[in-house]
Amino acid sequence: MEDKTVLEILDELKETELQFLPNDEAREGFMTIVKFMLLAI
Amino acid sequence: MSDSYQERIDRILTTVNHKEPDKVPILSMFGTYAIGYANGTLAEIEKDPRKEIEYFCAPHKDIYSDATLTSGIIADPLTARTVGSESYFASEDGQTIQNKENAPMLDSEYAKLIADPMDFIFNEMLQRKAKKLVGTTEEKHEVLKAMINRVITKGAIATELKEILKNEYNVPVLAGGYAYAAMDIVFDYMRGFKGISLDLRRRKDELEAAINALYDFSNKFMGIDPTSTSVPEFPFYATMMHVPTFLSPKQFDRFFAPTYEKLIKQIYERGGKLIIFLEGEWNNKSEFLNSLPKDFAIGIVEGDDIFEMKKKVGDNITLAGGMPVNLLQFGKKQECIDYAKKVVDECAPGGGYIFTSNRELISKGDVNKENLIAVNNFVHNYGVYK
Repeated sequence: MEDKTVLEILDELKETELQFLPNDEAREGFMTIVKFMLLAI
Repeated sequence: MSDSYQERIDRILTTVNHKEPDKVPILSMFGTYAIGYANGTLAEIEKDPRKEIEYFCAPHKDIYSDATLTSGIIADPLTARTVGSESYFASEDGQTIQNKENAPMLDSEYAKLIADPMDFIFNEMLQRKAKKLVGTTEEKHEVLKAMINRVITKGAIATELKEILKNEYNVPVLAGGYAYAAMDIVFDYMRGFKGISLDLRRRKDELEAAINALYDFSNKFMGIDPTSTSVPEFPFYATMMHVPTFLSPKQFDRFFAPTYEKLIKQIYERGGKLIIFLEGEWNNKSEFLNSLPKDFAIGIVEGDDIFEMKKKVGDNITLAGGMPVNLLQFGKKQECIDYAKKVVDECAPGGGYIFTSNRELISKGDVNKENLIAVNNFVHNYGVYK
Protein backbone atom coordinates (compact mmCIF):
# COMPACT_ATOMS: atom_id res chain seq x y z
CA MET A 1 0.00 0.00 0.00
CA GLU A 2 1.39 3.42 -0.93
CA ASP A 3 2.02 5.83 1.94
CA LYS A 4 -1.13 7.83 2.56
CA THR A 5 -1.78 10.94 4.60
CA VAL A 6 -4.27 11.18 7.45
CA LEU A 7 -6.64 13.21 5.26
CA GLU A 8 -6.48 10.62 2.47
CA ILE A 9 -7.19 7.81 4.91
CA LEU A 10 -10.09 9.76 6.42
CA ASP A 11 -11.55 10.19 2.94
CA GLU A 12 -11.37 6.44 2.39
CA LEU A 13 -12.92 5.69 5.77
CA LYS A 14 -15.74 8.10 5.02
CA GLU A 15 -16.75 5.78 2.21
CA THR A 16 -16.25 2.48 4.04
CA GLU A 17 -17.29 3.19 7.65
CA LEU A 18 -20.08 5.71 7.27
CA GLN A 19 -22.37 3.93 4.83
CA PHE A 20 -25.04 3.73 7.54
CA LEU A 21 -25.58 7.47 7.04
CA PRO A 22 -28.22 8.41 4.46
CA ASN A 23 -26.17 10.43 1.98
CA ASP A 24 -22.82 11.98 1.16
CA GLU A 25 -23.77 15.27 2.81
CA ALA A 26 -24.40 13.46 6.11
CA ARG A 27 -21.13 11.53 5.75
CA GLU A 28 -19.25 14.77 5.09
CA GLY A 29 -20.86 16.38 8.15
CA PHE A 30 -19.97 13.44 10.34
CA MET A 31 -16.40 13.46 9.06
CA THR A 32 -16.11 17.17 9.96
CA ILE A 33 -17.03 16.23 13.54
CA VAL A 34 -14.39 13.47 13.48
CA LYS A 35 -11.79 15.95 12.24
CA PHE A 36 -12.73 18.47 14.90
CA MET A 37 -12.42 15.80 17.60
CA LEU A 38 -9.04 14.77 16.23
CA LEU A 39 -7.89 18.37 16.43
CA ALA A 40 -9.31 18.70 19.94
CA ILE A 41 -7.54 15.68 21.36
CA MET B 1 -41.78 17.22 37.92
CA SER B 2 -45.11 17.70 36.18
CA ASP B 3 -44.06 20.49 33.83
CA SER B 4 -44.01 19.05 30.34
CA TYR B 5 -41.02 19.06 27.99
CA GLN B 6 -42.71 21.61 25.73
CA GLU B 7 -43.74 23.83 28.65
CA ARG B 8 -40.11 24.00 29.71
CA ILE B 9 -38.92 24.92 26.21
CA ASP B 10 -41.64 27.56 25.93
CA ARG B 11 -40.60 28.97 29.31
CA ILE B 12 -37.02 29.37 28.08
CA LEU B 13 -37.91 30.80 24.67
CA THR B 14 -40.29 33.31 26.25
CA THR B 15 -37.65 34.66 28.60
CA VAL B 16 -35.04 34.72 25.79
CA ASN B 17 -37.43 37.02 23.91
CA HIS B 18 -37.50 39.31 26.96
CA LYS B 19 -41.07 38.47 27.86
CA GLU B 20 -42.20 37.09 31.18
CA PRO B 21 -42.89 33.35 31.05
CA ASP B 22 -45.04 31.53 33.64
CA LYS B 23 -42.01 30.84 35.83
CA VAL B 24 -38.32 31.71 35.99
CA PRO B 25 -36.58 28.96 33.99
CA ILE B 26 -33.90 26.93 35.75
CA LEU B 27 -30.87 25.58 33.94
CA SER B 28 -28.74 22.69 35.16
CA MET B 29 -25.08 22.47 34.15
CA PHE B 30 -24.00 18.99 35.13
CA GLY B 31 -20.65 18.20 33.63
CA THR B 32 -18.76 15.26 35.11
CA TYR B 33 -20.52 16.16 38.38
CA ALA B 34 -23.15 13.69 37.19
CA ILE B 35 -20.66 10.80 37.35
CA GLY B 36 -19.77 11.62 40.95
CA TYR B 37 -23.43 12.15 41.80
CA ALA B 38 -24.16 8.60 40.61
CA ASN B 39 -21.08 7.25 42.42
CA GLY B 40 -19.84 6.04 39.05
CA THR B 41 -16.43 6.17 37.42
CA LEU B 42 -15.03 6.95 33.98
CA ALA B 43 -13.51 3.46 33.91
CA GLU B 44 -16.97 1.93 34.25
CA ILE B 45 -18.23 4.06 31.35
CA GLU B 46 -15.30 2.89 29.25
CA LYS B 47 -16.19 -0.74 30.00
CA ASP B 48 -19.90 -0.21 29.43
CA PRO B 49 -20.75 2.92 27.37
CA ARG B 50 -24.40 2.76 28.45
CA LYS B 51 -23.33 3.66 32.01
CA GLU B 52 -22.91 7.20 30.68
CA ILE B 53 -26.68 7.37 30.18
CA GLU B 54 -27.35 6.04 33.68
CA TYR B 55 -24.94 8.47 35.32
CA PHE B 56 -25.98 11.58 33.40
CA CYS B 57 -29.64 10.94 34.21
CA ALA B 58 -28.97 10.45 37.93
CA PRO B 59 -29.01 14.11 39.09
CA HIS B 60 -32.24 14.73 37.20
CA LYS B 61 -34.02 12.22 39.42
CA ASP B 62 -33.61 14.57 42.41
CA ILE B 63 -32.77 18.05 41.11
CA TYR B 64 -35.36 20.12 39.26
CA SER B 65 -34.38 22.00 36.12
CA ASP B 66 -36.17 23.24 33.02
CA ALA B 67 -33.22 22.39 30.78
CA THR B 68 -29.69 21.12 30.94
CA LEU B 69 -26.83 22.82 29.10
CA THR B 70 -25.13 19.73 27.66
CA SER B 71 -25.44 16.01 28.19
CA GLY B 72 -22.77 13.39 28.54
CA ILE B 73 -19.00 13.55 28.35
CA ILE B 74 -17.73 16.09 25.85
CA ALA B 75 -13.95 15.65 26.16
CA ASP B 76 -13.48 11.91 26.13
CA PRO B 77 -10.21 10.36 27.41
CA LEU B 78 -10.83 7.04 25.62
CA THR B 79 -11.17 8.78 22.25
CA ALA B 80 -7.91 10.60 22.98
CA ARG B 81 -6.13 7.39 23.97
CA THR B 82 -7.40 5.66 20.83
CA VAL B 83 -5.14 7.92 18.75
CA GLY B 84 -2.32 7.99 21.30
CA SER B 85 -3.05 11.41 22.79
CA GLU B 86 -2.73 12.36 26.46
CA SER B 87 -4.70 15.59 26.08
CA TYR B 88 -7.58 14.32 28.25
CA PHE B 89 -7.22 11.92 31.13
CA ALA B 90 -9.10 10.82 34.23
CA SER B 91 -8.22 12.50 37.53
CA GLU B 92 -7.22 10.47 40.56
CA ASP B 93 -10.85 10.46 41.72
CA GLY B 94 -11.75 8.49 38.58
CA GLN B 95 -14.77 10.76 38.07
CA THR B 96 -13.48 14.02 36.64
CA ILE B 97 -11.46 14.72 33.50
CA GLN B 98 -8.31 16.80 33.24
CA ASN B 99 -7.01 18.56 30.20
CA LYS B 100 -3.32 18.79 29.41
CA GLU B 101 -2.46 21.97 27.52
CA ASN B 102 -2.59 21.30 23.85
CA ALA B 103 -0.11 23.50 21.96
CA PRO B 104 1.60 21.44 19.25
CA MET B 105 2.06 24.26 16.72
CA LEU B 106 5.28 26.29 16.53
CA ASP B 107 5.21 30.05 16.01
CA SER B 108 7.26 29.59 12.83
CA GLU B 109 4.48 27.52 11.24
CA TYR B 110 1.87 30.21 10.66
CA ALA B 111 2.67 30.39 6.93
CA LYS B 112 1.92 26.69 6.49
CA LEU B 113 -1.30 26.94 8.52
CA ILE B 114 -2.49 29.95 6.51
CA ALA B 115 -1.61 28.35 3.14
CA ASP B 116 -3.55 25.11 3.78
CA PRO B 117 -5.09 24.73 7.25
CA MET B 118 -6.41 21.18 6.77
CA ASP B 119 -3.16 19.84 5.32
CA PHE B 120 -1.07 21.42 8.05
CA ILE B 121 -3.34 20.38 10.94
CA PHE B 122 -4.06 16.79 9.95
CA ASN B 123 -1.04 15.75 7.92
CA GLU B 124 1.63 17.48 9.98
CA MET B 125 0.68 18.94 13.37
CA LEU B 126 -1.70 16.22 14.58
CA GLN B 127 0.98 13.52 14.76
CA ARG B 128 2.85 15.49 17.43
CA LYS B 129 0.14 14.72 19.98
CA ALA B 130 -1.61 11.71 18.42
CA LYS B 131 1.35 9.37 18.77
CA LYS B 132 -0.42 6.42 17.14
CA LEU B 133 -0.72 8.33 13.87
CA VAL B 134 2.97 8.19 13.01
CA GLY B 135 3.13 4.61 11.75
CA THR B 136 2.57 2.96 8.39
CA THR B 137 -0.51 3.61 6.29
CA GLU B 138 -2.03 0.34 7.53
CA GLU B 139 -1.40 1.29 11.17
CA LYS B 140 -2.83 4.78 10.73
CA HIS B 141 -5.82 3.28 8.92
CA GLU B 142 -6.60 0.96 11.84
CA VAL B 143 -6.19 3.72 14.45
CA LEU B 144 -8.44 6.16 12.55
CA LYS B 145 -11.01 3.44 11.94
CA ALA B 146 -11.09 2.68 15.67
CA MET B 147 -11.41 6.39 16.44
CA ILE B 148 -14.32 6.80 14.00
CA ASN B 149 -16.06 3.81 15.55
CA ARG B 150 -15.57 5.37 18.98
CA VAL B 151 -17.19 8.61 17.71
CA ILE B 152 -20.09 6.57 16.29
CA THR B 153 -20.59 4.86 19.66
CA LYS B 154 -20.40 8.19 21.52
CA GLY B 155 -22.88 9.74 19.08
CA ALA B 156 -25.38 6.91 19.58
CA ILE B 157 -25.09 7.20 23.37
CA ALA B 158 -25.53 11.00 23.22
CA THR B 159 -28.64 10.64 21.06
CA GLU B 160 -30.16 8.03 23.38
CA LEU B 161 -29.32 10.11 26.45
CA LYS B 162 -31.11 13.15 24.98
CA GLU B 163 -34.16 11.00 24.20
CA ILE B 164 -34.28 9.59 27.73
CA LEU B 165 -33.89 13.05 29.28
CA LYS B 166 -36.77 14.17 27.08
CA ASN B 167 -39.09 11.21 27.53
CA GLU B 168 -38.45 10.24 31.14
CA TYR B 169 -37.42 13.53 32.76
CA ASN B 170 -39.01 16.17 30.46
CA VAL B 171 -35.62 17.88 30.37
CA PRO B 172 -34.45 19.42 27.08
CA VAL B 173 -30.75 19.81 26.27
CA LEU B 174 -30.03 23.44 25.46
CA ALA B 175 -26.90 23.09 23.32
CA GLY B 176 -27.49 21.72 19.83
CA GLY B 177 -24.80 22.68 17.35
CA TYR B 178 -21.58 24.41 18.28
CA ALA B 179 -20.41 27.81 17.06
CA TYR B 180 -16.71 27.36 17.77
CA ALA B 181 -14.82 30.60 17.30
CA ALA B 182 -11.86 30.37 14.91
CA MET B 183 -9.57 32.19 17.35
CA ASP B 184 -10.43 29.68 20.07
CA ILE B 185 -9.30 26.89 17.74
CA VAL B 186 -5.85 28.49 17.64
CA PHE B 187 -5.89 29.10 21.41
CA ASP B 188 -7.33 25.76 22.55
CA TYR B 189 -5.68 23.30 20.20
CA MET B 190 -2.71 24.86 18.45
CA ARG B 191 -0.79 27.59 20.25
CA GLY B 192 -2.01 27.49 23.87
CA PHE B 193 -2.02 30.36 26.35
CA LYS B 194 1.67 31.19 26.25
CA GLY B 195 1.95 30.90 22.48
CA ILE B 196 -1.04 33.05 21.63
CA SER B 197 -0.06 35.64 24.24
CA LEU B 198 3.27 36.09 22.43
CA ASP B 199 1.66 35.98 18.97
CA LEU B 200 -0.75 38.76 19.95
CA ARG B 201 2.28 40.99 20.35
CA ARG B 202 4.86 39.65 17.91
CA ARG B 203 2.91 37.97 15.10
CA LYS B 204 -0.27 39.99 14.85
CA ASP B 205 -0.72 39.82 11.08
CA GLU B 206 0.02 36.09 10.91
CA LEU B 207 -2.36 35.35 13.79
CA GLU B 208 -5.10 37.38 12.15
CA ALA B 209 -4.56 35.62 8.80
CA ALA B 210 -4.59 32.20 10.51
CA ILE B 211 -7.89 32.98 12.24
CA ASN B 212 -9.34 34.00 8.86
CA ALA B 213 -7.99 30.80 7.29
CA LEU B 214 -9.64 28.65 9.99
CA TYR B 215 -13.05 30.27 9.53
CA ASP B 216 -14.19 27.71 6.94
CA PHE B 217 -13.43 24.84 9.30
CA SER B 218 -15.33 26.39 12.21
CA ASN B 219 -18.19 27.16 9.82
CA LYS B 220 -18.33 23.56 8.57
CA PHE B 221 -18.22 22.29 12.15
CA MET B 222 -21.23 24.46 13.03
CA GLY B 223 -23.06 22.41 10.40
CA ILE B 224 -25.48 24.92 8.88
CA ASP B 225 -26.31 24.05 5.28
CA PRO B 226 -25.41 27.24 3.36
CA THR B 227 -28.44 26.74 1.08
CA SER B 228 -30.86 26.54 4.03
CA THR B 229 -33.13 29.44 4.90
CA SER B 230 -33.96 28.45 8.48
CA VAL B 231 -32.65 26.59 11.52
CA PRO B 232 -34.73 25.52 14.56
CA GLU B 233 -35.21 28.16 17.24
CA PHE B 234 -34.48 25.39 19.76
CA PRO B 235 -32.04 23.88 20.71
CA PHE B 236 -29.54 26.71 20.64
CA TYR B 237 -26.14 26.91 19.02
CA ALA B 238 -23.53 27.08 21.76
CA THR B 239 -20.19 28.80 22.18
CA MET B 240 -17.84 28.16 25.07
CA MET B 241 -15.77 31.35 25.10
CA HIS B 242 -12.18 30.56 26.07
CA VAL B 243 -9.68 33.19 24.90
CA PRO B 244 -11.81 36.38 25.10
CA THR B 245 -11.40 36.88 28.85
CA PHE B 246 -7.63 37.21 28.26
CA LEU B 247 -8.02 39.78 25.45
CA SER B 248 -8.21 43.54 25.73
CA PRO B 249 -11.24 45.08 24.02
CA LYS B 250 -8.95 46.23 21.20
CA GLN B 251 -7.52 42.74 20.68
CA PHE B 252 -11.01 41.24 20.89
CA ASP B 253 -12.28 43.61 18.20
CA ARG B 254 -9.40 42.90 15.86
CA PHE B 255 -8.79 39.17 16.30
CA PHE B 256 -11.83 37.49 17.79
CA ALA B 257 -14.92 39.38 16.75
CA PRO B 258 -14.77 39.56 12.91
CA THR B 259 -14.86 35.81 12.14
CA TYR B 260 -17.08 35.09 15.13
CA GLU B 261 -19.66 37.67 14.09
CA LYS B 262 -19.62 36.25 10.56
CA LEU B 263 -20.21 32.78 12.01
CA ILE B 264 -23.11 33.61 14.29
CA LYS B 265 -24.76 35.90 11.74
CA GLN B 266 -25.72 32.74 9.89
CA ILE B 267 -27.60 31.48 12.94
CA TYR B 268 -29.39 34.79 13.41
CA GLU B 269 -30.35 35.15 9.74
CA ARG B 270 -32.00 31.72 9.87
CA GLY B 271 -34.00 32.39 13.05
CA GLY B 272 -31.80 30.46 15.48
CA LYS B 273 -30.56 31.40 18.94
CA LEU B 274 -27.13 31.36 20.53
CA ILE B 275 -26.03 30.48 24.05
CA ILE B 276 -22.60 31.81 25.04
CA PHE B 277 -20.70 30.60 28.08
CA LEU B 278 -19.03 33.87 29.10
CA GLU B 279 -16.00 32.27 30.71
CA GLY B 280 -13.94 34.53 32.93
CA GLU B 281 -14.86 38.21 32.95
CA TRP B 282 -16.72 40.09 30.22
CA ASN B 283 -17.33 43.37 31.95
CA ASN B 284 -15.04 45.20 29.49
CA LYS B 285 -16.74 43.64 26.44
CA SER B 286 -20.28 44.76 27.12
CA GLU B 287 -20.23 46.77 23.88
CA PHE B 288 -19.91 43.54 21.92
CA LEU B 289 -22.75 41.91 23.86
CA ASN B 290 -24.92 44.95 23.25
CA SER B 291 -24.05 44.88 19.54
CA LEU B 292 -25.62 41.43 19.12
CA PRO B 293 -29.14 41.41 17.69
CA LYS B 294 -31.70 41.88 20.47
CA ASP B 295 -33.19 38.66 21.91
CA PHE B 296 -30.74 36.52 19.92
CA ALA B 297 -28.27 35.43 22.59
CA ILE B 298 -28.12 34.01 26.10
CA GLY B 299 -24.97 34.71 28.08
CA ILE B 300 -24.02 32.45 30.99
CA VAL B 301 -22.32 34.77 33.46
CA GLU B 302 -19.32 33.19 35.14
CA GLY B 303 -16.84 35.66 36.63
CA ASP B 304 -18.84 38.88 36.39
CA ASP B 305 -21.31 40.36 38.86
CA ILE B 306 -24.68 39.36 37.42
CA PHE B 307 -26.42 42.40 38.89
CA GLU B 308 -24.00 44.73 37.09
CA MET B 309 -24.24 42.71 33.88
CA LYS B 310 -28.04 42.85 34.06
CA LYS B 311 -27.83 46.64 34.07
CA LYS B 312 -25.20 46.76 31.33
CA VAL B 313 -26.39 44.17 28.80
CA GLY B 314 -29.55 42.64 30.24
CA ASP B 315 -31.92 44.55 27.97
CA ASN B 316 -30.26 43.11 24.88
CA ILE B 317 -29.26 39.55 25.77
CA THR B 318 -30.71 37.06 28.24
CA LEU B 319 -28.50 36.34 31.22
CA ALA B 320 -28.13 32.97 32.91
CA GLY B 321 -26.35 32.42 36.19
CA GLY B 322 -26.16 34.29 39.47
CA MET B 323 -26.04 31.44 41.99
CA PRO B 324 -22.49 31.21 43.36
CA VAL B 325 -21.14 27.66 43.42
CA ASN B 326 -19.06 28.38 46.52
CA LEU B 327 -22.21 29.37 48.41
CA LEU B 328 -23.91 26.17 47.26
CA GLN B 329 -20.84 24.30 48.44
CA PHE B 330 -20.26 25.83 51.85
CA GLY B 331 -23.35 27.91 52.72
CA LYS B 332 -26.27 26.98 54.92
CA LYS B 333 -29.47 26.04 53.12
CA GLN B 334 -31.30 29.21 54.18
CA GLU B 335 -28.37 31.41 53.11
CA CYS B 336 -28.52 29.81 49.67
CA ILE B 337 -32.27 30.31 49.41
CA ASP B 338 -31.97 33.95 50.54
CA TYR B 339 -29.34 34.57 47.86
CA ALA B 340 -31.40 32.83 45.18
CA LYS B 341 -34.35 35.08 46.14
CA LYS B 342 -32.20 38.19 45.75
CA VAL B 343 -31.01 37.03 42.31
CA VAL B 344 -34.55 36.29 41.14
CA ASP B 345 -35.94 39.53 42.57
CA GLU B 346 -33.32 41.63 40.79
CA CYS B 347 -32.76 39.75 37.53
CA ALA B 348 -36.06 38.11 36.61
CA PRO B 349 -38.53 41.05 36.19
CA GLY B 350 -39.35 41.56 32.51
CA GLY B 351 -37.86 38.21 31.46
CA GLY B 352 -34.43 37.80 29.93
CA TYR B 353 -33.18 35.71 32.83
CA ILE B 354 -32.46 32.01 33.48
CA PHE B 355 -31.51 30.83 36.98
CA THR B 356 -28.40 28.67 37.26
CA SER B 357 -25.08 28.41 39.05
CA ASN B 358 -22.17 30.63 38.01
CA ARG B 359 -20.08 27.63 36.95
CA GLU B 360 -20.61 24.26 35.37
CA LEU B 361 -20.51 21.54 38.02
CA ILE B 362 -17.53 19.28 37.51
CA SER B 363 -16.81 17.40 40.74
CA LYS B 364 -19.14 15.77 43.23
CA GLY B 365 -17.84 18.12 45.91
CA ASP B 366 -18.52 21.30 43.90
CA VAL B 367 -21.84 21.79 45.68
CA ASN B 368 -23.73 20.47 48.66
CA LYS B 369 -26.45 18.60 46.78
CA GLU B 370 -29.07 19.41 49.43
CA ASN B 371 -28.44 23.13 48.85
CA LEU B 372 -28.78 22.73 45.09
CA ILE B 373 -32.02 20.79 45.42
CA ALA B 374 -33.32 23.41 47.85
CA VAL B 375 -32.54 26.49 45.71
CA ASN B 376 -33.86 24.96 42.49
CA ASN B 377 -37.10 23.92 44.23
CA PHE B 378 -37.32 27.35 45.81
CA VAL B 379 -36.90 29.20 42.49
CA HIS B 380 -39.33 26.88 40.75
CA ASN B 381 -41.99 27.71 43.35
CA TYR B 382 -41.09 31.32 44.15
CA GLY B 383 -40.19 32.50 40.65
CA VAL B 384 -43.77 32.65 39.40
CA TYR B 385 -44.59 35.66 37.24
CA LYS B 386 -47.89 37.28 38.17
